[in-house]
Amino acid sequence: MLTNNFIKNTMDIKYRINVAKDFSAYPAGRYKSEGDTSGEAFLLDNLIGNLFAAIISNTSLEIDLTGMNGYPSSFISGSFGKITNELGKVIGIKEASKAIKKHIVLKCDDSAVRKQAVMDEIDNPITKTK
Amino acid sequence: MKESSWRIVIGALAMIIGIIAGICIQSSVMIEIDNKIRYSELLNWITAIIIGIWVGYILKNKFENSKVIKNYLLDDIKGISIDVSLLKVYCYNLKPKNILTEEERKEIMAKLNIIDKKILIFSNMLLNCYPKEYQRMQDTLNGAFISFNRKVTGDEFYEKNIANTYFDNIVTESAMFEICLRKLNIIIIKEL
Repeated sequence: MLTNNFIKNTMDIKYRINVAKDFSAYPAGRYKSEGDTSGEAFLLDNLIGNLFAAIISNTSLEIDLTGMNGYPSSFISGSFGKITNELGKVIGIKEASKAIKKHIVLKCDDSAVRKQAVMDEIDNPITKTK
Repeated sequence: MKESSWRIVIGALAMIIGIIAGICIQSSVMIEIDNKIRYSELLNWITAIIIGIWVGYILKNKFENSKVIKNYLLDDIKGISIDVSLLKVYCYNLKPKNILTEEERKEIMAKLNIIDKKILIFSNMLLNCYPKEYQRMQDTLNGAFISFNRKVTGDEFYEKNIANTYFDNIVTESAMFEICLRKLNIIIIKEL
């Protein structure tokens, strides 16, 4: 189920994150102050390291979104949106989203919308300052 | 008398006149039996049988199958619509409060999850039965749900002092979602 804004990724998948198993099946909130399962916590503990490793080794990071109980927009924005925003400050949002999408492969077997929600956030990150 | 009733009367009269005219014409012509077999007539019969089988069996079955699938899709949309409405009412009833409890957040997430799963069921059926129409309809539905999810589970969802606009925005967004669902209903009825 691919939609128009998905880039077909042909790189080898070297890194994998299963959000429900490796992080939490109940993600919630944007900032770490809102809990250990927030977007910021996921960004710092799981996403940033794996994504940079994938970029450096010119491979892909597979993020499995299966099994998540909901996907609060503040969580998605606090993780995927935040990393796009921060990278966008240096190279521009368009280039940042292109670079991130090049190295990310999203997988989700139990929702038709979840992948799209994450991709939308990478394309148009919502900016929010504390 | 209504226009439709007049149409029925005119139709019936035209049929009766046709039958009487047919009988009159038939009675004025001597009927002759031709024992010769003409190949063109045989071809005519075979063509009539093939068309009969095609219309009566293949086309009718296809139409009935399509009707059943459409009914499933319409029921799925109806189910999503009901759940969106229930979630809207649940959220709006929380308006007097200015903070959501953990239980209330869990309840809202559970309701969103149910809608998400119903969208998955609808999408799979759509993909299997109408792959050409899938992308257009799926993009519309996904867009509406993402937007609704964004309003419900945005930053205010976790804030300690929720503004009234949060609840009002949910009502507005649920109306937008409902508009999208009705559009899908029209596409299913008219275009599939």
